[in-house]
Amino acid sequence: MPYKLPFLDHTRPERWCPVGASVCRGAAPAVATWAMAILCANAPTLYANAPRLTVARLVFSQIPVESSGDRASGESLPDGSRIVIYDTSHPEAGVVNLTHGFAAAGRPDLSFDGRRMLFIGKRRSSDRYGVWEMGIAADTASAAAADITRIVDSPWDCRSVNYLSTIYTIDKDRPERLIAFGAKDPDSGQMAIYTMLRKDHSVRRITFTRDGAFDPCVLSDGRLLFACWKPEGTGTSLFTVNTDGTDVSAFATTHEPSAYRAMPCETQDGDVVYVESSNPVHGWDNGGSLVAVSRKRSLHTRRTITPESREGTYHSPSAMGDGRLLVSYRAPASKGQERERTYGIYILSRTSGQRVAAVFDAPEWHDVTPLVVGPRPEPAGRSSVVNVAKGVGRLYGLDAYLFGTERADDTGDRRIAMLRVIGAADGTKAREEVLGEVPVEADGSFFLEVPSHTPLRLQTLDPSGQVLTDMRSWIWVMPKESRGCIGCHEDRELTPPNRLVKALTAAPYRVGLPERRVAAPVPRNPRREGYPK
Amino acid sequence: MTRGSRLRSIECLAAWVAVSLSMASVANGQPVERSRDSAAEIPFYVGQTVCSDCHDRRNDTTPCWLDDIPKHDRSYGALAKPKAEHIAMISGIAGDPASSRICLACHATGSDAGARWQTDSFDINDGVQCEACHGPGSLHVERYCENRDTRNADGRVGATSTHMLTGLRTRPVHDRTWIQRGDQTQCATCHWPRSSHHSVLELGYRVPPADRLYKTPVNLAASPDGDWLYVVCEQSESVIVIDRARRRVVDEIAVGHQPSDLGLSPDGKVLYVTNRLSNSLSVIDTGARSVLREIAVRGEPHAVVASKDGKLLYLLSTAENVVSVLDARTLDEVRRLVTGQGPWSAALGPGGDSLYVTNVRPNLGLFQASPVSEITVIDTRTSVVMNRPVVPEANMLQGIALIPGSDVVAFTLMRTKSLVPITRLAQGWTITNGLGLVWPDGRVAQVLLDEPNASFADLMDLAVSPDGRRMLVTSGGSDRVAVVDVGRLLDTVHRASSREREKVLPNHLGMSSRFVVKRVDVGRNPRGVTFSPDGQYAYVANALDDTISVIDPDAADVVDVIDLNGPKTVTELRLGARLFHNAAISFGQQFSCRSCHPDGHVNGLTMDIEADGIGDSPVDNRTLRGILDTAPFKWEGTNPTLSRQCGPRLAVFFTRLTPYTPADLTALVRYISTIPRPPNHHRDPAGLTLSQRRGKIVFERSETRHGRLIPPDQRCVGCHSGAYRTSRTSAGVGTTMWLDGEVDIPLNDLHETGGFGPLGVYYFHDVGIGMRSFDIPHLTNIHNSAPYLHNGSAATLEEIWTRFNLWDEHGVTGDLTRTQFNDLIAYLKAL
Repeated sequence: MPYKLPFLDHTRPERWCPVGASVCRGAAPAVATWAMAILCANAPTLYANAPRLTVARLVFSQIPVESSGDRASGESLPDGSRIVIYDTSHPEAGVVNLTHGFAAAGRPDLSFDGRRMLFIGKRRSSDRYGVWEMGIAADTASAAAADITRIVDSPWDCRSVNYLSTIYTIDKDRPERLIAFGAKDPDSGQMAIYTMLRKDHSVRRITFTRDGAFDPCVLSDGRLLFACWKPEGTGTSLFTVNTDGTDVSAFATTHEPSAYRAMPCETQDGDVVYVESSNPVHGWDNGGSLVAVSRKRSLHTRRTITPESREGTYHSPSAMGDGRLLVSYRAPASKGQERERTYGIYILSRTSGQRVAAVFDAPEWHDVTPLVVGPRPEPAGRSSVVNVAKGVGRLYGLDAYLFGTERADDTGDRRIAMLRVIGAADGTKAREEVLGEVPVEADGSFFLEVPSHTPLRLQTLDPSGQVLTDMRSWIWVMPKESRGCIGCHEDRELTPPNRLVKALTAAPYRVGLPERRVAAPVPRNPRREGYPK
Repeated sequence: MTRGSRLRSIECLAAWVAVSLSMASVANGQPVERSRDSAAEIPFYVGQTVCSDCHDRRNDTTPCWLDDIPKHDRSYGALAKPKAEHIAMISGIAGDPASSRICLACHATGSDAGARWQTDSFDINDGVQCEACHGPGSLHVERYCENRDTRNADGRVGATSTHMLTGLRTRPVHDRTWIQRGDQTQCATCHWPRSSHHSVLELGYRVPPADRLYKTPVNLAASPDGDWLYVVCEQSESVIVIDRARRRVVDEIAVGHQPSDLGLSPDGKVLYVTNRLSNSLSVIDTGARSVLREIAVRGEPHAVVASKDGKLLYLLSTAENVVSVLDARTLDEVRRLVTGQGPWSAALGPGGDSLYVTNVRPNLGLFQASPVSEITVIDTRTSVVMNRPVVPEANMLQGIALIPGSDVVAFTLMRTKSLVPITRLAQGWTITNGLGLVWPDGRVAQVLLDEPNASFADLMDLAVSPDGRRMLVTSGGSDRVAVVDVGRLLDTVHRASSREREKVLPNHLGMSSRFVVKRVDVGRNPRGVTFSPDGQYAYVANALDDTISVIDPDAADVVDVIDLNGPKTVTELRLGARLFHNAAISFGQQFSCRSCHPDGHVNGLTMDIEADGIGDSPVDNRTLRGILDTAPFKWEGTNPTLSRQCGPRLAVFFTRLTPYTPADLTALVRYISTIPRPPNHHRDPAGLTLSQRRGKIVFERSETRHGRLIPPDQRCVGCHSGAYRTSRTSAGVGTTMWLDGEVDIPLNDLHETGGFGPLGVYYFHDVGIGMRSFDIPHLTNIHNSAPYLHNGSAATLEEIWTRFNLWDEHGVTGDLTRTQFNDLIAYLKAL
C-alpha cells in the first residue's frame, strides 16, 4: 500500500505561501533559519499551490563548511560531521544532534518502520568509520538518548550503510535480515559493497569490480543499485546486483567516459533518481543535476529533472511518499562572495524540476543526505543459491555472436574460435592476468567453471588468436552461482532465445581454478558434479 | 565410444528393431499370437453372497481374516457421511465421494472395473468384500467351484494361484483356481496415512462455508443489444446477469460444475455455457433467464462459439483435443475436428467464415526441441480444418479475438524458455508474455507485453473494441490490464523486417512501449474481458475478488467496479488461490504457480532447473490436480509433503524471492490440494470397455504370455498400485539418460549420434552404470499429461514402452502382442 508522507497535509489545497503558514506561525525569530528567508522571498513565484507543511521529522547529515575531501573515495565526512534530526512542525527547536560523542558521523539510513537508524561514524578522529545503529524515539527531544550500538567494526572502513530486506538460503530455517555497507576492502583498498547478516554479524563482500563500487541503494525488487567507476576511471555507471552478489547487470550507463552518476534512490512509482554530472569536480560532494530513469526500463528512459546549469548543484536525493523528492541543493557561488554557499534541504517536484519548498538550511553546515522519518515500504526479500563453501561458480553464454539485436558473422576470420578469460585476482589493475582460453562452440555458446569472488572480463578470439571483441567492464560470479549471458553486448532488453545450446550439453571447462587446465580443458564429458537436489 | 558400449548399443538397436518388426507383423494383419479376447474369458465381480455359498465361515477350512474386521462391510456407507465430503473436497475429488473412483477404490470392491463388470449378485453396499483382495470371482465360481475335486489336498482354495492370465496364455483349467490369492500385502494399498483423511478425521478440518459462496467470475459477454452482461462464475457454478446501465446484479442462474466460458447466439436469445467438471453444456434462455437444457458432452468443454448464422456451435474439448461441431437446434454432434493440444478459446475470423482456435499446450514434438504451438483454423462453411499455423517458441495460447476492420486475429501467448536453464529471472530469462497476430494466409507475428524489469504475467484474455482501435489484455498474474493501441501495434509489426519479426519482436522487452498505452490496475486475478457493443466500456472479470472492473478504453482507466456480492472474508482456501495465481511471488513478477500449471494442470513442457545441475537436465512438469494423497513429490521423490515441494526450495530455485510465510504456505497447499481432477472422458461411467478390461488384466498380470513369472517389481501393478496407481516410492525403470546430471558418461563425444539410442539419447544400463530411481508417478488422468517419463522424453504413452523400454525394465512389455499392448494403453487412458 502506498503511504502518504506524514507531514504533508493534502487536505489544504489553497494557495500556499510559507509566510503565515503553520510552518512559520510558531517560529520564533531567534530560530528563524535562512530557509525561512528564502521561502518568504521567493514564495510568490516558486511555491504557488504547494501543499502545506504540517508535521514531519527529518534526519540528515551536517558537514562543516570548512571540510573538504573526496566523497566517492569515501573521504566525505570530515571530523565534526554529525547527524541531526529536525522537526518541521517545531522549527523553533532547531536541529537536535543525534551523534554526540562521535568525531564524525553521517550517511543515515532509516529502517522500514522508521524507528531505527543506521549510520557510519567514528568515535575518535583516528578510528576507522564503522556502522552504528540507534533508535529514533517518537519525540525529537529524546531521540539523542536512544540506544546506540556498533554494528560493523574493523577491519572495514565504512562509507555508507543501508537497511536491506531479508535473504533466504536453503540451509536456513527462515529468512534472515541483512544490511549492506560500502567500505574499503581491507586488503586491496578498493571501495566495495558488503552485506552483513543481522543475526550473526557475518559479513560477505558482494561486489568485485576492479574499479571500486559505492553508493548502494536498495530497490523495491530487492536488488542493490550501486555506482561503479568505469575502467577509464573518469566516470561512473550504475549497476544492479542481487543482495547475495549474483547477477550483476548494467542499470544506467552511457559511453560518455566522463559522465558521473551516483547517489541513486528509488521513488514509490518506480523511478530511479540519481545525481549526474557530465564534468564532475572530484571534490567532497560530486554534486550535479538530477536525472530519472524508470526502474522497469532503465536503459532507455533517461530524462533530466533539473538541467545541469549554473543554477546550482544537487546532492543526495531521497524519495518522499507523495512522489516528490527531498534533495540537498546549493546555489552557485556569486561574485564577491566570501565563501561557497552551503547545501540546504528542499522539496523538489520531479515533474517540473522546481524546488517547491525550502525545508532547512544552516549557513555554517552542508545539510545533506536528508531522509523523512517514518515508515516506508519494505523491498522484496530475496533467496539465494550462493554457497561460500563451493569456491567456484559457473559462467555460460548462449551466443557470443549476438551483438545488439543482430547476430554477427560467424564465418572465416570473424569466427569466434576461443574465449579468453581475464581475471584480476585481487581487484587491482596490476594483477590482471589471463586465466585461460577455452573453445567456443559453433553455435556461439560456452560454459565455464571459474573462481568465484574474482573480477573477470572476457575476450573473444578469432582462429588466429586475434581479439575480436574485448569486454570493458568487469563481472564476477559468486560461489555456486550459475551466471548466464545471452550474448556479447546484446541489447539488454533482449530475452534469451529458447534453444538448447551445445555448450550446455557437456560439462563446463574449468578456468583459473587450482587444477588449472588453461587451454587444455578436461575431457568433454567428465563426471558432472551434480548439485544436491 | 568404447567397443563394448558400441556393441551394446547395436544390441540395443537390434532389440528395438525386433520389437518394431513384431509390431509391424501385427500391423500387417498377421498377429504373432492372437489374444483370447472373448469377454467370456474375463471374470466379473459376483459379490460376497455368492462367495459365501461355498465359503461358509463356520465350515470353511480356509477362514478369511477379513471376516474379523466388520468395518470393511461399512466402508462404502462411510462415503455418505459429511466428513467424506470434506475429505473429497480438500483432495481434489469433485462431486459425490460415493461415486468417485478414487474413494471407491478403497471403500468398495471392483470400482476400477466398474459396474459393467459386476453381476447382479454384486452389491456395492457390502463395501470391501472378498473380491477386493481375491479379484473378480466369476470364473472361479463357474469353473473351479463346479469341479471341486480339483481342490488341493489340504482343501485350500487358491494356494497355487497367481494372477489371472486371461488372454495371455491358455493353460489347463485344472492348474488354476481362477482367482487371486489374497494376502495382507494388499492391505497396504489402502491402509496408509493419508493427508486428506488425517486433516478431516484427526485434525477436524472442515471446509469453511464461505468457500462454497465465492463467485470467482472467469468470463463474461455482453448481450448484442448492450443491455445485459453475462458473467460466468466458476466457484458458484452460476451465470450472473448484470444490468449494464445500472451496473447492478439482477439475476443468477445455476449451471453445471466449474463453468468456464460462455457463448451467445447471434440474436442474443440463447446463452451457451461450458461446464468443465460436469462435462456438460448448459443452454440458457436469456429472456426467461432459465436453463433450457444441459446436455452431456465430453473432454472438459472449455469454450463454445456460435457460427455467424447461429446454426452451428463449436465446442472446444480441451482434454480431448477436439472441436465438436454441434447442430445448434438439436445439439447433436455433427462433426469432430482434431485441434492442437488443449483447445482453449476461439473466435470467428474475418467475415465469420472461419474459426480460430487457441491451444494452451504446444504440439507434441521432438524431445528437447523448442515448443511449437498451433492455431487451429476451421472453415465454418464446411466445418473442416483449413489451416494450422504454428507459433514457434510459444505456449499457453489462450485469449483470442478478431481485430475488427482487419483480417488479423490476435491472441495471447507465453514464451517459456524451456531449454534455457533457470538460473536467473532478470531479462525475461525464464518466461515472457505477449501477443500473437495471425493472418488468413497463416503468417504469424509475436510481440511481448512485458517490460524489462516488470513482467506482465499470465495473459488470460483479450478483447478488441468494435472500432478496432483499442485492445485490452488481462494479466492474471499481475492484476493489471494492458490498454493497447491497435494501430501502433500493427504498425510495429508491419515496419519490422522479416528477420526482426522472427528474431527480435518476439524477444524484445522494450517493444511494448511502442503500443501499450497504459497498464491499468484492476482487481485480483483478472481473466475474461469484453467490450460493450458500442465500445464505450470494457468489462474485466476479477476472479479472485468477485468483482467486475468497468474500464473506459479511451481514458485507459477504471471508472467503476461492480460487486458480484461474494463473501468479503478471505478464507484460507481463497488466500491460497490468490497466492497461486499471483506473479508477485517471483522476481520481476515473471511468473506465478499458474504460469506452468494452467487450471492446476501441466503446460506440456520440461524445464531445466538449476537445482538439478545446470546443463541439460530437464524434468517433466507434473499436474497438480488431485495430488494431495500422492506423496512423495518431485521426480526424485524427495519431497514428502506439498509444503516442502512449494516451500523454501521453490523460492531458492524458482522464484528467487523470499519463501512463503508459514501461513501463506499452508493456504497455498490447501488450495493446491483442492484443485479438482476432471472426469476422464476415456472412461465410461458404466465401467471399463472390453479392451480396457483386457488391458487391466495385462496391467495386473504376473506371468508373461509365455508363462514366465514376472518379478513383482516389474509388474505394472507392482509399482502402480492403489487408488492413485502409485506405490509412493521410487524405482529405476531404465530411463536414465546422459542428460541426467549425476551420471558418469563414458562417451567420447556426446554429439556422435551413433552412440545413442534410437532417440538420440543414451542408455546406461548396458554399459554397467546404475540406473537412477525416480518417483513412481500416480496415473490418474494420465491420458492428458503428455509428455511422459521424468524428463518428458516420451511424447505419448505408447512411446514409454515402444521407445524407452527395450530391456523390459519399465515393466515387462516385450512379449505383448499389439492387441494386448493397445489394450494396456486403453486401460491406462481410462485411469
